[in-house]
Amino acid sequence: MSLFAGIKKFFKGLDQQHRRKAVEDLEWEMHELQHIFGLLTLGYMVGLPSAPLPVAWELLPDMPQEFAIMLARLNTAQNPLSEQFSRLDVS
Amino acid sequence: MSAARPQVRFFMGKGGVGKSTLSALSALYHADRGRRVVLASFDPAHNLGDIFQRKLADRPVSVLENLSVAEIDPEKWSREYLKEAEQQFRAAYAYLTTFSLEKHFKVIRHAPGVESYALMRAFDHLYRDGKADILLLDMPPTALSLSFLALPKLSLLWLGQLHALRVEIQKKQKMINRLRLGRREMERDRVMENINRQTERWRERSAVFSNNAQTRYLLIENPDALSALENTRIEERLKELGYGKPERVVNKAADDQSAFPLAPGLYGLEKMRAYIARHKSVFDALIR
Ligand SMILES: Nc1ncnc2c1ncn2[C@@H]1O[C@H](COP(=O)(O)OP(=O)(O)OP(=O)(O)O)[C@@H](O)[C@H]1O
Ligand SMILES: [Mg+2]
Repeated sequence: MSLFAGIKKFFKGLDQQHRRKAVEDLEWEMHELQHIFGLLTLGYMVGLPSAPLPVAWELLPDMPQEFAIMLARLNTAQNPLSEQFSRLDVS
Repeated sequence: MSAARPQVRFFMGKGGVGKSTLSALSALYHADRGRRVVLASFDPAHNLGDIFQRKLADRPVSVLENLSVAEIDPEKWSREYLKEAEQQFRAAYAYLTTFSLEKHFKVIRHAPGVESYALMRAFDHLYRDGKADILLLDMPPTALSLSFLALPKLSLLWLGQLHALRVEIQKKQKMINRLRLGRREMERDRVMENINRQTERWRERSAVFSNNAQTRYLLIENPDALSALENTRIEERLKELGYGKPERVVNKAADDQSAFPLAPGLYGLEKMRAYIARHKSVFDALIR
């Protein structure tokens, strides 16, 4: 492989890595926002103040993703740091 | 709101001040002046049936040609609402175990907001019925009445927050799509559509409740300090909600030109009509 091609490949790899990292970060942020969205609507399930029940209930059938995130968080509630650690590649 | 929508009157006040009696008298007053009237009690402890000396039901029952009266059963409307919501939930989340569903519904059945929303659905139903020029509502105890009236504003407040958050989520989704797939366009966002749809409906209700030209709040009290105090509280709350200026109406007064005087046996069409005739100027002034 020529030096030039090597460098090009190196940069391409770097770019892909950056992109992947950026996407991962964004996905994590979006996930967090979705979790907050879940809490604002379904927070009453865990004793948090949340949107009036009729509003939440009408939203529910259209937000399976947010609902799933909330349920998953509830299930890992005993070990709330696990997600953070896996995010930080500490596990 | 189209012009065909009815005028709305809420009769509120402390227990026993005469909400049912005055709403019934007002209904009769309007009906005898040729308007199409629907009177509904939202108070689970009904007595409009006693006042009109008729067996009433959860749906408007015709008492005169142009006067129908309903005793709304909040329990029934709650049950119907919960059943509907449960069905939708089960359809959307069929994959959840029966156990977690049951646990969820147990919480829900007693959650605050269900009762006032059940009344809202009953209100929608009467309001859109198209059968009335004027819709009179004999309201339940103050706490429930106020949570019913606050529901549109409260819902809009939350929907506004949810909308803002959803916009953030959409932004992230857009960036992810661009980075990963190189495309800009967004898929359909059902959550956002749902938020917008609900916002629209709550705005309509809120518009009705805050429209001074359409809706009036009659706060009934007696010549005693306690019932007046309760109305002062209601008045403040309604002001906070932006519902214009409520009108305070004194009932069971010693003979007075600007209040409804004490009179025995205010039930049955004949006696009520006699009372209206005797105090016509008070009705003309206060009951519009
Ligand atoms: N102007 C009046 N003169 C005499 N008695 C009256 C008058 N208005 C109401 N009453 C009587 O006072 C009692 C309570 O009236 P009413 O049931 O209309 O009040 P209410 O506010 O609807 O009560 P509740 O909070 O229990 O629903 C009834 O016995 C009624 O007949
Ligand atoms: Mg009453």
